[in-house]
Amino acid sequence: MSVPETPIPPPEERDLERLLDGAIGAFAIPVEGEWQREAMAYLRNVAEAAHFVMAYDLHDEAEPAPVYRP
Amino acid sequence: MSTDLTTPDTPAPDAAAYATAPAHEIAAAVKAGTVTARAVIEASLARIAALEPQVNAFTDVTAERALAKADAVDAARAAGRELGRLAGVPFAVKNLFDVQGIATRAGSKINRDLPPAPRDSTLVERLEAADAVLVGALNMGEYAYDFTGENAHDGPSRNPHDLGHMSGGSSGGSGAAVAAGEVPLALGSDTNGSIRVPSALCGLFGLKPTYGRLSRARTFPFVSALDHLGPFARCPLDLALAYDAMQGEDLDDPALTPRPYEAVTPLLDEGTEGLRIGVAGGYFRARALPEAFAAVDAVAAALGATKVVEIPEAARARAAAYVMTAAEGAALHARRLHARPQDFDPAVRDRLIAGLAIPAAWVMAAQKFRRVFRAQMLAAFEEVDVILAPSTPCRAPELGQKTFVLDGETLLVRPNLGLFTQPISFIGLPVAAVPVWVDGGLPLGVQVIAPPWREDLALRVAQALAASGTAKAPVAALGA
Repeated sequence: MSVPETPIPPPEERDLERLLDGAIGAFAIPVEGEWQREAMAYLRNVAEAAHFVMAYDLHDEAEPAPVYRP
Repeated sequence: MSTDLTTPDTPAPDAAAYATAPAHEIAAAVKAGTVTARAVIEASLARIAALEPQVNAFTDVTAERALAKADAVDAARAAGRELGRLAGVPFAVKNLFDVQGIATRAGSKINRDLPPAPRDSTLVERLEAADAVLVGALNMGEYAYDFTGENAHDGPSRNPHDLGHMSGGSSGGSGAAVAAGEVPLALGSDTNGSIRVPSALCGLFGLKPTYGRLSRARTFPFVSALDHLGPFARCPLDLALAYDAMQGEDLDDPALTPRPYEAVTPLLDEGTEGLRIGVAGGYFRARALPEAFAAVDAVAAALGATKVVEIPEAARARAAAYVMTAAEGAALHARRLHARPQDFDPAVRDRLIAGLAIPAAWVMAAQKFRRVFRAQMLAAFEEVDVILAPSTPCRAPELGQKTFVLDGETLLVRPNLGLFTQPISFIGLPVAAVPVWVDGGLPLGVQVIAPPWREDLALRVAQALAASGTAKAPVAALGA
């Protein structure tokens, strides 16, 4: 079965900022100076790449690559 | 320490010449008794000592251990034991490989506080079981998150063909040490291109085997889903000898795929007749300087390859690799980011912090797309046996260079040196990187990409290119 034809829009800047703020809090990273601004620039790049990947019509049944074999 | 360079029954050779000889010549000479392993290792150590102030490839030189191993090789020969295929060959490893007695720093400041490794990595053990001799550990980009060969803590490993330029990363020391003639053989790791990029920039042959082919046991990881290990050398035969010495099952690496031992060295000279060789089009013919395409075209012409292979989803494959790398790398280092963020290389730390914010849905989509892209590439391999593509979009940038212009677009050097390597390692295909010199400038690299488990095909093509002189890896002209 294919995913519905309702593509997820790319994340807004403020949403990415919230994600980053949340991660820094959740992992208790003691950020200093320009670290967060630099990290935000990288997160923007990752978000763009992820949006490109998620735009591909991956079927629900598609198996992720690392299948655990007990 | 003995100063005898030869066994008593052999003439005195020019031992220094063996310091820059290829591995197969050294092994043949040691086996024949033309030179002792000790003489070879002493010559290698002397060359390392002389060149390191310029090249900065090594972070640790294991001289005492190396001389002891060399003496053991010589003693074995004296006792009549048949020596291994790499007898007396000096080699060095990227400093993410465990070396007994040394903290595995993985290019970082933080890992120097780890206790010394209690045991060698599996691949070091296997090369030494073939009577090769470990002479040290090599500089690398911090935690392998790098394509430049620069390191905030140890300084950059320098490109031996032009010391003001990058060696490439993250296995920069591995590339620099072999190109400088300090060792004929080195090991590196390749998550997104970290063997193929330094091979290109330093003008070397490199082998990134199929994902799951060589054991990663007792090496410091980066992205387990994408990490590969492999050799650098100055000729394909040396790659093949090392690769064959390192194959085999290892219960210490759960990601190793059970495969029969498949020796490639006996197949190396089978030539390219009958092989269907394609040239990657589309994504692989854009965003590079003309010389990068000229290198591919020179290789294609030498092989008579005219068929263009379209790989339509390569850009998305690279994007997916980028997401997986950022997420898994961040997860690996989360505790260190919490405890010692100030001790990271800033360029690495800030990317890792960003990676902690990646939603799981992005990663799962990338993992699912990995299987899609694999199916597309396997379909392409029904039409051709190997595919040629550039290794990098340009020659070695200058040290410290932050940006370059590709197709009119200004891009960051650090992530984009690997734009042609990332889609291929994303699905774990084996690649022989071959060095090409197109117009008297610094070298370039071409990826010879084969289907899974067909390292033999990639190396056969590399060997044919070396035999024709299309690809070559000279020792850099450095004053020693």
